[in-house]
Amino acid sequence: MNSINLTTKLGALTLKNPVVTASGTFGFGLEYAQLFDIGMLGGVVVKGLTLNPRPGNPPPRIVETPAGLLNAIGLENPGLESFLRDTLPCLKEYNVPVIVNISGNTIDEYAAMAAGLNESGVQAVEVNISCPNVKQGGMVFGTSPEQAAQVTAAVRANTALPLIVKLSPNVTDIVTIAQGVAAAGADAISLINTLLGMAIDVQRKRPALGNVFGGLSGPAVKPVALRMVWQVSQAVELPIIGMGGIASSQDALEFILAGASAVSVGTGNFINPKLTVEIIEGLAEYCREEGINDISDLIGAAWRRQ
Amino acid sequence: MECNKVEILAVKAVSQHYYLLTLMAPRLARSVRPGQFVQVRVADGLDPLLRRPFSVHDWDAKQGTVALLVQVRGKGSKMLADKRPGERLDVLGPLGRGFEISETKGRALLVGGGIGAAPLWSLARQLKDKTWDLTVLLGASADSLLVKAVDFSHLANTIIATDDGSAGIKGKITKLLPLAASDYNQVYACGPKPMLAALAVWTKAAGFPLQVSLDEVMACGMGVCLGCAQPVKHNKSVNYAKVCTQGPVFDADEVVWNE
Repeated sequence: MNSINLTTKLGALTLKNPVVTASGTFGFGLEYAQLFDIGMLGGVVVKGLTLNPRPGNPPPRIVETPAGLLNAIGLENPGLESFLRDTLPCLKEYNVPVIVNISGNTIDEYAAMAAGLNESGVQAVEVNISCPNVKQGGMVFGTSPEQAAQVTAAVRANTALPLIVKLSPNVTDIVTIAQGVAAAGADAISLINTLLGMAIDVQRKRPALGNVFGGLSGPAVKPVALRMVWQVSQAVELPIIGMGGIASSQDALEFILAGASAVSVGTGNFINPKLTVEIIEGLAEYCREEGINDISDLIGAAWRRQ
Repeated sequence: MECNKVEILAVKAVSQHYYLLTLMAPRLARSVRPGQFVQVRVADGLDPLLRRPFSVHDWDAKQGTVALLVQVRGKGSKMLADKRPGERLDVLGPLGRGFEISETKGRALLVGGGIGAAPLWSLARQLKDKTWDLTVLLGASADSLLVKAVDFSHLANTIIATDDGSAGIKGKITKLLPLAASDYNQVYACGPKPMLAALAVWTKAAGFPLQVSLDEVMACGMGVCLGCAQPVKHNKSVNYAKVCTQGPVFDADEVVWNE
């Protein structure tokens, strides 16, 4: 039997398979390395980093909803310098492409972080302009086409690394934002970050999250994410990392067929810590069953067949 | 730490609100320590979505069994209580930092509020094995919410309080503290935060070291999601600690109680 080619390309970055982890759901990779060989993954997107350490939001920070998870972590992280010094050397041992997710309060902070990663040996930068849980920066940049483009351009000017921009779904027209970041120099687009939501604790008669609002993820958001991948992949000539509620290889295939070149597993890691490797196996199995030698033949196949 | 499907050996109702789930989990039984917990996937479906954390109530390393005490509180715990022997359960663990036990024997006070008594049973067994002298205080809002899956009185002087007086002394568990007055080398506690906070005040005044096991909502259980943040004192500043990996057991002096 011929072996299946699972490799996929995100601009200049080639992944050995299309399954990566979603930022904030896989720590810095080392936690899950206790359970399986993370070197099997297409890539690890690390917990979102900021230039300086951030303590995060006050608890309660998470609430479960039907088939979903609301979080208001608030970008708690040790800061870029600590990551580069203390964590990255350990992560490099696992022979897995490392994609660093960055956030900033200002465009200058994004630029400084991009510059700081140039000589670090990471494989790509994912620019987070879509975090709903911080007061400054975050989603503010991701909901304005002009600001999204400005952040992208500033990062582009400061790095030669493959540049992925992670977009917010909390917008009226996702295509316009995607076109803006594509024109500003992005190499790939991540779709989607969490949807802004909330829950109320009826016992305490107040919002369930300390931050009132949070980002909704998990299977509940999958139809929205899939729709956005479908729309953007037809409008923009950039590879897309599709994410939002992927909980099986079937889900991953839907995103690839909708136009994603890679998929990212987020909340699903919490439910099944080995989900990423099961999805890789499931994709290969599907290709075998369908007689497909190269998974890239499936990218966008659903809209090409309309 | 492992993530495996293990066989359910027994599901036994031990009171109106509590079920004892016995699992065949040899590797877990060999490695778990008092105060550690597991994350259990209650159903194969996606609603409820998250795993549920349960402290390990008891285990038998020779038999390879592990017991969880489940309080039926919502959809997930009800689904667990409805499981039947022979079914398999997806269990991640052991997780977290358990109780620290000094090798030098002494006198210990164990304080359990409601289901918080669950992890204290295995702790009591281990302390007894090391010939510690134990006193146990158990409290709940009513008799039906007292943990009776085990009989602490076999191991220790045990005093009970219920809010409604349906068992033991009427009143909060903290009312029992004067009755348990002694010199303790270590106090261990698990239960509602207000109970733990009151206990922290009492132990500090008495000069007893207190270890508390905290209960927080968490998604991953392994230090990734950062959902289970607990403010703790570090040098002169306050940071967030992860209850799942830096706890669930903390020194009471570290914990910021007035949230």
